[in-house]
Amino acid sequence: MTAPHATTQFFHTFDNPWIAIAAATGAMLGFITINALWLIWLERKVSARMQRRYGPTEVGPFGLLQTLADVVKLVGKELITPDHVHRPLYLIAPILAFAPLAALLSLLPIDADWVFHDFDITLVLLLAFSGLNVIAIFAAGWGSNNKYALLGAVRAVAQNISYEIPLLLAVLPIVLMTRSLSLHEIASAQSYPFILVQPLAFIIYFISATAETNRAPFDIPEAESELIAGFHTEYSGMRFGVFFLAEFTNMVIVCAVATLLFLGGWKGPLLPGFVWFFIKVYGLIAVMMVFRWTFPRLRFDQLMTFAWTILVPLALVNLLVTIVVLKL
Amino acid sequence: MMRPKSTMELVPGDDETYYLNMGPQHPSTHGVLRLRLHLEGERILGAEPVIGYGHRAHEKMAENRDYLQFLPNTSRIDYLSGMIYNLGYCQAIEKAMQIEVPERAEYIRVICAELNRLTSHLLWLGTYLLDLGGFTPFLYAFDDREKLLDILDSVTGSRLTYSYGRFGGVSMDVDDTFLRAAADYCTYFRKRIDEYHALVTHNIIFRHRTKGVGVMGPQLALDYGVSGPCLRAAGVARDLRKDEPYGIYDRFAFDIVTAEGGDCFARHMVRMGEMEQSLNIIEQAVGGIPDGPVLAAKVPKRIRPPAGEHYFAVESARGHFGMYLRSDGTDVPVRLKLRTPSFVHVATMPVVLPGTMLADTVAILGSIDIVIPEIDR
Amino acid sequence: MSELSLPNIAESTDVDYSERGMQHQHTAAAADMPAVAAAFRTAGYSLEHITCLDLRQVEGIGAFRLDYQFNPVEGPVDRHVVQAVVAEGQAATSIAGIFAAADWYEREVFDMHGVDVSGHPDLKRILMPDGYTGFPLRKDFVDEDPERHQLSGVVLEPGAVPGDEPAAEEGADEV
Repeated sequence: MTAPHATTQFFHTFDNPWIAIAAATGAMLGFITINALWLIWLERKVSARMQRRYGPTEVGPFGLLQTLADVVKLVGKELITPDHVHRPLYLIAPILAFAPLAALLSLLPIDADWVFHDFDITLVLLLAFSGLNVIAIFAAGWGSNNKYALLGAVRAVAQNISYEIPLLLAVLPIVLMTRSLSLHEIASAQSYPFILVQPLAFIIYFISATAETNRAPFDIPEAESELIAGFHTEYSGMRFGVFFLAEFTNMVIVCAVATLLFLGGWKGPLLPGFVWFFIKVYGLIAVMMVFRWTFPRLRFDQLMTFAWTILVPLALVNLLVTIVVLKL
Repeated sequence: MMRPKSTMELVPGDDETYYLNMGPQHPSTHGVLRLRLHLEGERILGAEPVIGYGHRAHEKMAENRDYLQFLPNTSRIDYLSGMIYNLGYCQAIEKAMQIEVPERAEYIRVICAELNRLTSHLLWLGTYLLDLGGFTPFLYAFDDREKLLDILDSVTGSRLTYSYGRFGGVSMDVDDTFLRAAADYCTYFRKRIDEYHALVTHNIIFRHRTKGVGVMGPQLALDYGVSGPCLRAAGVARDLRKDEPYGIYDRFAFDIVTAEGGDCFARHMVRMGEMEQSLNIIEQAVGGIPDGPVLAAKVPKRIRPPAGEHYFAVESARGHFGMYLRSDGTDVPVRLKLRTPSFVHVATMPVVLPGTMLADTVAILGSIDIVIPEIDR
Repeated sequence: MSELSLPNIAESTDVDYSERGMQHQHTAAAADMPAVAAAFRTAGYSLEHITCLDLRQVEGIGAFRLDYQFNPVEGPVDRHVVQAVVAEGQAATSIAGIFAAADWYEREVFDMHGVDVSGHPDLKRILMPDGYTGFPLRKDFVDEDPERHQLSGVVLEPGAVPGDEPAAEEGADEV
């Protein structure tokens, strides 16, 4: 266990632990919402710049409040539940997509002494929780009782399961190097960013993470030119909004893990730790956005072939080389 | 379970196949086209296009109005190459009635038709990449198309449905500003084509998505009468501008762009090449345009083509657009059959699609460049 | 590709290509069309279109005529139009087995003119909805939907369309 954490201090400022939990949850939800608002704005601006447009300019300074206006619109929309859906699954899917996020966020060490939870296996827990996303997507696709939604869900499950393997294989060398499964310890152990010694693992991780979050060019579960909107075809209003929130929060989580594992986490000169952390995270997210607005979409079978014949063997080789080098 | 190569039939007891209705409201059918797909997982076993959702009875309208009144309809059949259809219709009537068109008008027609072909191909490029999931080229292409529309707008007054042709010429003369804008655009767009190649053609994902997908071989030309870029992508050098030169196309030096393979990538390359050839034609036409009237002095007051059957075909952006006219010497045609290329191309879908993946359907439909009103007329 | 030799042709005329856009017109019996089409196909010609003409009021022969247009796939243009007269109530013969393109063209003929095509694999409406009655491109077609009566070219009695004043026959053809 590592030393003083903000959580402990944070919890001790409250007498009643329930109030502390409520406050922490509130903080997480607030972060999720504000993060999504700002990321959607960023996405629009990045895409606009790439496409020789301006993007949102009207609402608020630099159009910053445009997303807020959209959220207000989404919240104000009627929640339509189509007649033919399987109601329990249909209704629970957005919650399933959203619920693990707060738990996941609380595992991320933002600064050297700013961690909500830290124990020995945060990395495992985090990867396990990210897997829940698949269940939510499949529940949405299956419960929608719509062929397009089901196709999207089937694609999502196949894709996420395939890409989890290279993702894990890319993480393992770092674990072997630091002999720790705690994100805080891994990040602390980096006197230099691990990307310098594990560039291949980083690339594999980042590609797999893009696929895990269903971002273009791996956005086949919601490929709108093929499947209308994929698994969330039948969702409207804020139910759709929740899937959207989940997508953007997932981006933060995978990029934060990349930052902690490969980019030295909060470490950097001059600026405070958490600033460095967020600079790195949002830098990676910006790269993901550039991907999205640059590449066409892969076809489903090509996506699977890529994972199983290129990424997995490469990651395995990388892992073996790491083991051999560490043992020498 | 072994299933036939192409089938639309659900076999009782075989639970692994199902129908999927793609359209008539679907983002990638480019309008109200409906494809009934028979799928096994994501693999297509059979496809049946269902058309007619955009049927507007252009052929019936032609029988109920005189020749000039039908002119505005022509640019609404294929709204993406409306100018080519407009001028083609005028040329068909002129040929039937042996009306001489002034030189200047012929040059203007060539310039406008080729500019229109560029707009059509640009829109195709943008929407095609959108179908494949690439958003950015869409806006690049629309940006360039917008410039072209402004040029055409400056002389015709409309952006899409031009109605610019007249029997015996064109409705309005062009000025030097227009000609200079057209010439400048050619210089500008040559550089842009290189950028499109860098952005799209050399993109590895694009190549993976299009190479070897949706092969339409030369055999389909015989079976179905496939024409235009789809045919030239199969290596058949057939272009009505060369083979059956109408207007003054025989005066310009340009190549018939062909490609090998007949797949989506080949069709992409053909259209990219055709854009360059269009630039060549425009540049030659702008350089050689003479002064003079733009409307023939002696156009009969009443348009009455001689009795009998007439056929006239032009190379539209999508292929062979033909008009089969039966006249009985009155003001109103007895029958005006519109032979449109997209109708034929969609008809080939039941043989082209089976065996591909669902995502390929989008790639193939996009690559043949369908325009729904042209299919449904 | 072998030379074009046409069997079962009743009458042939050469027409002026510079005026008509086609080189040859032929007449054939509707039942002989498969043989004619097969000859064209063997010679490397493709089917450009099938056009049905309603000649019942135009030529007063109580028949429809199907014009099949053929042109070589490669090489110089050599357009042949084969006319096959189909008496009202009789069926044309399908050439869909020879030219796949004819499948849709014949469906269109059936859909628009109500000419039956025997031997067609799946003769059903193509442009009009499945449950539609009536054949829009027939000269005597009257649209049962009075709101769309302009299309039919038949001027209805004044007042037949509620709220539509008599002079809606010409010029007001906004569709």
